[in-house]
Amino acid sequence: MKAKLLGILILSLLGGLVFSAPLSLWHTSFVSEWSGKDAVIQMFEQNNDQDVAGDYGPALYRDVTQKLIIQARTGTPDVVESVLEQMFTFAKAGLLYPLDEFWDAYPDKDEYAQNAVDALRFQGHLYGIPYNTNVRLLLYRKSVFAENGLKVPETWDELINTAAYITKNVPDMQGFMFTTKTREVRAFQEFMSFYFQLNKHMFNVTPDGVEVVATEEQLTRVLDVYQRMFFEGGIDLNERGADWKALDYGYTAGKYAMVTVGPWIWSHRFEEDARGEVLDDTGIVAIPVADDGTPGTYMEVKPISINAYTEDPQGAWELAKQVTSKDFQLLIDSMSGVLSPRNDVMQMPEMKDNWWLSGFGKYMDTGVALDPVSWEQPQNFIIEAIQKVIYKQMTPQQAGAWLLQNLQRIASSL
Amino acid sequence: MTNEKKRALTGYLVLAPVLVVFVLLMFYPALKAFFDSFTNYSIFVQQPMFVGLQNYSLQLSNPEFWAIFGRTLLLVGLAVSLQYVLGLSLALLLKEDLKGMKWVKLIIMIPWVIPVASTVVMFDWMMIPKYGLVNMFLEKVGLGGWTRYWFGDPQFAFPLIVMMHVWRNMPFYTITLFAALKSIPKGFYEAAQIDGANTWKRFWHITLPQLKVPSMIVIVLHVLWTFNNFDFIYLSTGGGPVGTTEVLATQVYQTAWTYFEYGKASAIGILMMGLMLAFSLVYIKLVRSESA
Repeated sequence: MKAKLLGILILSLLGGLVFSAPLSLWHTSFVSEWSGKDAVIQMFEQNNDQDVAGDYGPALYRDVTQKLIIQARTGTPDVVESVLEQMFTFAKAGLLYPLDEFWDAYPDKDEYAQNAVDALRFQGHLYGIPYNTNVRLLLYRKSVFAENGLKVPETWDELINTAAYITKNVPDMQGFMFTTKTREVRAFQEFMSFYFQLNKHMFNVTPDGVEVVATEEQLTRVLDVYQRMFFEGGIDLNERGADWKALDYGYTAGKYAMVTVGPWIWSHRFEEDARGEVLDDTGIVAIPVADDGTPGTYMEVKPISINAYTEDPQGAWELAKQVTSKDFQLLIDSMSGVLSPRNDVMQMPEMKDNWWLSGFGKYMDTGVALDPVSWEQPQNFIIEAIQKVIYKQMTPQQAGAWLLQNLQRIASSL
Repeated sequence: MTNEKKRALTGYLVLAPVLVVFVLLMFYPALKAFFDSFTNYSIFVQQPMFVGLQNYSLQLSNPEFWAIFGRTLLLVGLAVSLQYVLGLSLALLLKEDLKGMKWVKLIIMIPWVIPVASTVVMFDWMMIPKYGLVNMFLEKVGLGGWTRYWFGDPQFAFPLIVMMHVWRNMPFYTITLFAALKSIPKGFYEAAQIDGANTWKRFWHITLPQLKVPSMIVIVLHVLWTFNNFDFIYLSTGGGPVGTTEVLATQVYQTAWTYFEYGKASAIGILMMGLMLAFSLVYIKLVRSESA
């Protein structure tokens, strides 16, 4: 009996050496509920020739953050999809595998938009392959502008005045909308879309550390847009503190005349016909530019990265390549209505002939990627500064000074 | 080995799996958090260093901490007392066996069985500006001037959080207290009635004292639960607007998962645990001494 048990134990140990554990992939598109989920999983499983576990991780990005930090050292997942802000945090914590060597030898690398790839560099190393990108632009209701003889705003002043005019004169229509909820990442992204017109960087990252390059005047000017938008009638004061749901669904419900948003809102047309009609009546233009500013807007890039603790970096790289391949990006990006960082994908009819995607694609070169720092703390301070202004706790000048002071205080820890 | 020893050993063996799970899942994390609270532990620090009481002194000397602490106590005080008063009132009504109470008993548990996340999502959609149910109703009845994003209004956000707590937890009080009410011997009331005690006196001198133990249980449970509750606030207001709904539990989360400062987050967690331990001990002692 004892000999039999010993035999089983030895065989198990040998088996463990011979048969390695399957690779694991965390990808929110495989898990969260959206119209393309089944097609994405089907395509992946049909084309996959590696042994990959069937659990594709958490559905929400915030859960990805927590779980990856807790368990990355176990080697699971081998490959992880995230958003740019998270990726910098993971890289800074030493949880991601530098991809430079793999990337340099990758034949497809020239297909990628350089700004999307550069956005994924942290302290000189590449930590992700981009698979999805977009920029924030101004969406407006063409019929509302035509019926009221309005010109699409091109400057901040015009934006604020047009928004106020529409709120006052067009029944059941609010001129503009900002998200301003506490800890709402979209509020931060909207702020940055305006800020990037005044300065393409908020931080200067050098081997010696991080320093703030934003000025009090620049921060104040962006906060002043919020003050004027809310207190000069562009946005109803009672809509302060609202989140992305209010903005996205409010726009496609026909309640707002203008919003600054990304291309994902396209998927609303599959929920209700009426929302599709609003989207068909939508014009896409650059976010109005500050008087002495240059075009610039928040650019989102979603990366696929490799766990620094993976036991099989080569296998993980093959898996990462598979979920960023041309066919895979075409499917996932066209179905979710976002842009691909791959030029060969953007040349496909599904992307090129789609007026919505090409409308956004036209402005990709104005997208500015975030500086490579851990953004969670600055994000919170920026939203807090916005709230201090719109809830009248501070003037834009005071909030700008307060924000700068806090950014400078935390810079060394970013 | 004597029979007595054998029996004791069997008892310990039966308990062992639960004890192991308890130690692994409860005791070890608490102990780890206690030790971490004396370090600068963070995901960005490779080798955490001992910092003594620095994390504690930072919190205790920060006026913002005390403001958040005060708000946490206010939330607990308001939510638990409203839940108790309303839950007891409903339990008394149910005991009267009025017409239709059978249906009330069935329906009343619905809020309690709905997951917190779903409750918050439901309330959040109802409060959304322009097309949330509450705002649409206000428009319909001619109160359009009152429409707003209710969770984004500093005057209404905190009361709404209290309301969500009450809405969800009141059924638990009702059912627990109703069961306790049913167990009070009818003879007590008959004797009191013969002695001339009116309804109020019967309630005050019979019902309330008989409910002491179940009341203690539901109150202690819900004080602990509300004090530590994070999801109601995090999912609805995120602690805003302008910090008006920030409580200690959301502060711990922010420190740990936004700033990744686990040492500081552990210190706040340990302070919370100490406070709740003290509360539970004092409250249980008070109730026991009164019962004696």
